[in-house]
Amino acid sequence: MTGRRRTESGAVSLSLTPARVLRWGVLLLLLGPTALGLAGLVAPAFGLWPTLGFEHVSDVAWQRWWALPGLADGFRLTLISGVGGTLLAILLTLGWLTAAAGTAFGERLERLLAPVLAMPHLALALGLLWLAAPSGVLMRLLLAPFEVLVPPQFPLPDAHGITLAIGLALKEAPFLMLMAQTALSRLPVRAQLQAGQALGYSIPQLRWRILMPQVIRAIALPIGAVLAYSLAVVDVAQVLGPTRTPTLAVRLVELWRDSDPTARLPASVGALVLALLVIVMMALGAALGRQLLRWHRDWTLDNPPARACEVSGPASVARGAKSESISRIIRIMLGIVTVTSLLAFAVIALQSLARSWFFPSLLPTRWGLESWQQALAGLGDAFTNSLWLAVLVATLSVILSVAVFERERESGRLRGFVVCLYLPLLLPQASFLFGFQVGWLSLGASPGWPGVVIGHLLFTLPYAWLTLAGPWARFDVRLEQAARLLGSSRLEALIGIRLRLMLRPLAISWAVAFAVSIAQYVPTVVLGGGRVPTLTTETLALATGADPRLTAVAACLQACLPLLIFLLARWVPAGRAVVPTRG
Amino acid sequence: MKTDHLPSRRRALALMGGSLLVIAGVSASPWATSIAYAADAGKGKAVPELAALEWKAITEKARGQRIDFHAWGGSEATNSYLRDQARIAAQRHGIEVRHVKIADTAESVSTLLAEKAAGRSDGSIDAIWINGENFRALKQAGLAWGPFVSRLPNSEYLLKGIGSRDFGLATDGMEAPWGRAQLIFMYDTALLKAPPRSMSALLEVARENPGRVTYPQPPSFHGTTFLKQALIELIPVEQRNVLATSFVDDTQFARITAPLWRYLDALHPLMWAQGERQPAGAEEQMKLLAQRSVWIALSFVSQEVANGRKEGRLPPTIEPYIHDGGTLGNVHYLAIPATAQHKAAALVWINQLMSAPAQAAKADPSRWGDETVLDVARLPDEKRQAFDELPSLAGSMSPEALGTPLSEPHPSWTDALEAEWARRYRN
Repeated sequence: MTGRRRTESGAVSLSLTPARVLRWGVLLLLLGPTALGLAGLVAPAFGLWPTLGFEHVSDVAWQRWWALPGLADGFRLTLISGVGGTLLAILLTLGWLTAAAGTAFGERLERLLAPVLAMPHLALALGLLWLAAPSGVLMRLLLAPFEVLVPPQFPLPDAHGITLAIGLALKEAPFLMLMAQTALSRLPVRAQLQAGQALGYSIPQLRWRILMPQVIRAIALPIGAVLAYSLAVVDVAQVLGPTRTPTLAVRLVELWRDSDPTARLPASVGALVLALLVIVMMALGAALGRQLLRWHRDWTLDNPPARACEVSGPASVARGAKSESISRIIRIMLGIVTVTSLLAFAVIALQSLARSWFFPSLLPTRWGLESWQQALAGLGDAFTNSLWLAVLVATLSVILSVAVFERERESGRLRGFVVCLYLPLLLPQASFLFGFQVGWLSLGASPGWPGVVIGHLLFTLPYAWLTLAGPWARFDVRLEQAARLLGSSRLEALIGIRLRLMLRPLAISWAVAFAVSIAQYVPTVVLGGGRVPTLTTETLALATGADPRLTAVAACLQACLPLLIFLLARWVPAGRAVVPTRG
Repeated sequence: MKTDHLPSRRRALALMGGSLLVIAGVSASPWATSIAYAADAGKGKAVPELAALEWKAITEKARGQRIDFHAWGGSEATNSYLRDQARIAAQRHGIEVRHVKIADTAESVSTLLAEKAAGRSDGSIDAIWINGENFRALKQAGLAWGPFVSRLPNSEYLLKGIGSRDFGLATDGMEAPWGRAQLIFMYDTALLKAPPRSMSALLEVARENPGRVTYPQPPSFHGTTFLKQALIELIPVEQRNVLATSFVDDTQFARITAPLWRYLDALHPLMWAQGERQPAGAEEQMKLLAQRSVWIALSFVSQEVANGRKEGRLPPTIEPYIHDGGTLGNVHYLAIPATAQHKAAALVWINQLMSAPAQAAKADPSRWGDETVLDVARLPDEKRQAFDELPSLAGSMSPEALGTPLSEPHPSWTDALEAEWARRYRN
């Protein structure tokens, strides 16, 4: 791979260069709120909350947290759904990588999966529930021939977190596939495949042995983000998980919402415990991943595959047929997953156009646009707020990411700086933001737009960064070097060569940040003090109501904005694929 | 290769430590000036400056102010009603009302607590739709402003004695009655011949149709209500007055509530999803009822069925009913946080929502169907007309059918019921 070069001497001088100011600015922007949030957690966790009359350090919060009924179940559920969902998403991505990436089927799949990627988690979860629940559309389809009056009974969502894991995987797999896709687009895939084929190996063999480890390494950080998210997710867990003994994250939110303010003390402890759990699982996952890749490498080296050109005869035909059938099975699986997600989307769209749609009717019995009219009467402000907020935040995220990359020339490996960047993603949103809210107010700021923008940036910046890290590190620096040698300034080389060639990854990074911003609920509510209504805050408020039709309209609107942006991002010219070896 | 990433990591850590120290310093200052946590904080406070003003002066002061009104936004009926009222407030009183749609009132109480913890006096909430436990949290934190109710001109026609106690807690004029709620049940006539008009009949329905009965999960508002309703029905009538005051000790609590736990032990295995999942609230249970997954639901809006059927949210086969021994009733309120910045406009807004036209529009079952807090009989003729002209829809509940509501038990019972429920069934 290309080597990294430092463009200036390694000597540390303490002059205030713009670049240094920028780097510390970004760090402060991220660490300030994170530290504020942590401080707001640590004090109550040790029993300090003067306004509620807790004025001395004590273990009262710990005792109350560990005395909560059903904690063990909560841990079990959190692990099953979080780890299971992540593993399932990785498996789907691997399947896509080995059987679909780069083929015509794979491209069709990507086009179909774009709406799923853009869809907010909550909307997808609701759609899946309306699709697969006992009274859902699938069941009605099955029962249509038999005049059944009432829906059957089966445990969906189940009590073990399996439904939740599947729901999370369906939502996260497209994100990982997108990450893998951008990683692939920066790898000299064609050259590697051509070289391998010239040596007589088959394409599936090469994909599995050569491309897969490279891609997995490139998407290690996104996998980490998915794991952290899945372990601490709240809204999806409320829709697809059990309620009597819910996941830890749901438990935390319950405590925060308890009308007894002192429930915040055990909640702070729980937030720290959950953050610790996330960090431990990330470390375990990283170690396991490294070990697996090592085994894979040893296995690859110890078992040189049979070359297609060397063997002929029944054995190779059988082998070819076997790998072909495996590929077919994987494709069918991917097809099912994609269709399920799209159907969930369709159900939501239908629901929003229905006036009456009760079991056992397969289709709505009365149609109408009333829900849309009602919603639009009340959602105009929310729509424009969501749009401008996401545009602003996504733009800032991409600019800051580029600026810091340009400073750091990060390789995408974990460093202190990236760890700091990751902190907001690791901490359970609800509790960490409450701490931030107290700190923010203490600094004399008011709730409103500035707080919301910073709150969103905390979560969009890491994702923008994630999406860009791989492509950025894999960019062929010799192009820039050539430009510099021909007399361009560093800025000219950056804008004229690098950014121009990286337009597609930049656009996708912007789109991801945009989608993340649209889906933010807790930061918007907590830091906006309700003064910045967005589509997501309105959707959640409506989702607590008795009218699924309105919830569907809000979810549609919420999904349409990011979807539009993704479609636009795909039209951005990909830039020339930079291949180190020109053949 | 980069060689200086180690110092950079150290620098980052130092930076984190530094910011933590700064934070500790910043947040220590408001904490030092904290107000003691006491049940009756708010009593004996200085007379609010507004209290000295005549109503006319208050309306003058309110003109041009903008208020943030926090109210649950889960019902389109409520949201569109508030949109209309906000339009009227802008036209008549020159006030801009922003309805902040929240998913749970506790979130707003959270915000107020956070603002208080940060030592801020310029709160972001001017008025709030509230009752029960959330009001108690507000009052205990000394964040309820007042007394103000008797100063509102429209409070003249309030029902006698309404709103003096909220779930057993004295309101001290710090929240204004806005609407009356009574627990009603609803069932699907296509699936059940007759509605179960008591808790024991409900258990019978569950025995005959396993998996078709459920109730919202405590400590949600409606879940806890179901527990209280069941408790009142299941204990001997002569014991009911015990619930009006705080329970003496754990032994007494255990003795009185024993029938309730016996009942739930029998009911839970027969419930929807074997009780592993329970609806998050009455709204979710109504969605399940509409899809026939469960056959019974409940609500605190007495005209819910009429409204839902008209709106097409509920199938036409759903009918409302109540239990033979009566059902719980309570009042929901409007309050002004002590840290509100636009109290004059908040007063004018609350007074408007208490007016006869506003109350009549709210009681219309085709709009919302929330019972009025005004004594309609005492209203002058021209004001009463709006109430007399209210339509009656299919699925309405008449006042006769509703009967006299049962009163809420003392809050101490509520807390203990929620805690005991969690201890027994969340493991």
